[in-house]
Amino acid sequence: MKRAPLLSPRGLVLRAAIVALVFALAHAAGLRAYTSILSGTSPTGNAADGWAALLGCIYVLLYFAFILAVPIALIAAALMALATRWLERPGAKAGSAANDPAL
Amino acid sequence: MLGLCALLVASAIWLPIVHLLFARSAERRADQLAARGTALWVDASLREREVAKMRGSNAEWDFMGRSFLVWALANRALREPAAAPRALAAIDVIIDETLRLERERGMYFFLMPYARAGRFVVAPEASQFLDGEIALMLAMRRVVAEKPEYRAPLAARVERMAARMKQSPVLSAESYPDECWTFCNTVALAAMRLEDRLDGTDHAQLLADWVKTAKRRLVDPKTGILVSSYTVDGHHLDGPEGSSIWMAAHALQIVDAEFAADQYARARRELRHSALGFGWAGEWPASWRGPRDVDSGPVIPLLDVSAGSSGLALVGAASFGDRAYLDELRATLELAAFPIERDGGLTYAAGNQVGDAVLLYALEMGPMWRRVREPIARGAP
Repeated sequence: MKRAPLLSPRGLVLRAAIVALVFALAHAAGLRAYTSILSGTSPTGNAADGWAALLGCIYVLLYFAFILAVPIALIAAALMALATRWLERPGAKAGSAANDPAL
Repeated sequence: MLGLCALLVASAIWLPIVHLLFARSAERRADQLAARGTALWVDASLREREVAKMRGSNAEWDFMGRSFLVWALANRALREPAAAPRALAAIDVIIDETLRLERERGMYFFLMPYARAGRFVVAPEASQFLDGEIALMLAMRRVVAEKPEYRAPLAARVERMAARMKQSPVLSAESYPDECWTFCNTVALAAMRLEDRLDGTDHAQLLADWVKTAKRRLVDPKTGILVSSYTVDGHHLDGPEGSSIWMAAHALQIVDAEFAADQYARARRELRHSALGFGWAGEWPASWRGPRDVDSGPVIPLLDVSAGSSGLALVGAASFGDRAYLDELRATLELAAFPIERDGGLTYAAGNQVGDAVLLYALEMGPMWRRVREPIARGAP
């Protein structure tokens, strides 16, 4: 299967879906509780628990990717699809705005 | 090129509106936090788990979670008389349990281990941290509804605080050996103010002298903000810190409203950050950098986000009616503190029980300080 380029509508949607899926898995696994590391509180009561801190960091990164990067990728994909359709409409020529009789 | 342009435009569309997703009703959040806070005092196993998590990092948080919850519930009881019986029942359980632990395990139970590393300078040995917050718990409870059993413990606590403060040239008592905290001493002053209101005692001179001394000896020369900690003789140990000043300004509102407002304005100018509808607070002003510690919590570099300062900034903003900053802080809380709703209750996963209690206090505050400022009516507390 051919891999969709990152900066293409399909590539952006695909990557947004992957991030959303991985975040959903982390959320379902209960990693949200491990974010207490942000306040310096150990989720397990053991301040030296490195694994708990790592899980908390992973959840935080996935969460912000889901909240910020996923919507941006989806909006960008929609914009790219619209722009591509407009540029490829019948009769359109690249850089032909100056020749447009409507102007 | 088209792809990069699309990403830029998409960011320009999404980032300015994302904060709108995180607007929540303050009333509903307060109800949920109160439900969770009181549930902890009904379900012993739930409380044990929460306390163990906090004590693993800081024994103080176990104590402060109690104080802020009591103060919040007291305000809630004044705001909603229908909620008072349930709130008072929880308050009494918390106070009695806290006093029992202090009596049986000693003050060190609620202090960090370094409290044992030195000797308290002022006699009798006591911690203003515990005395001030316990006194304020007792006093607020009695403002909501008189409880005669708490009158003598409040009087004894206030008398001890006043006696210890008067032995210091900067009128401050230690929370840890030769370590006075602005947070603790301003809470103590607020408790004295409440006792004066309740029992007709008169600490007005001590309160006025403290403010006068603080203006002269306890403010940072660059920012004019009260420093967070100092020795008994007034030598500064830390500069201004967000984890102290927001609460100190709030407590000072019933001691010297003008000084309190000035402190809040200075703290806001030096510590407030905001962007895209979100707000947060730094722990230190630009002119002074302290060590990251258990009070500041982890500080996120570049953005200068301090969990401790941002949490207490909610108290400051709510106290001074700073609606714009409060809304921004609450949006950030909903975005980045990871709320978990369960069984009608609410907890913020990125914080802990003391964080939830601080937020509840910020959402409920108002009625108590208003009551203290009202002229005394015959028969009213």
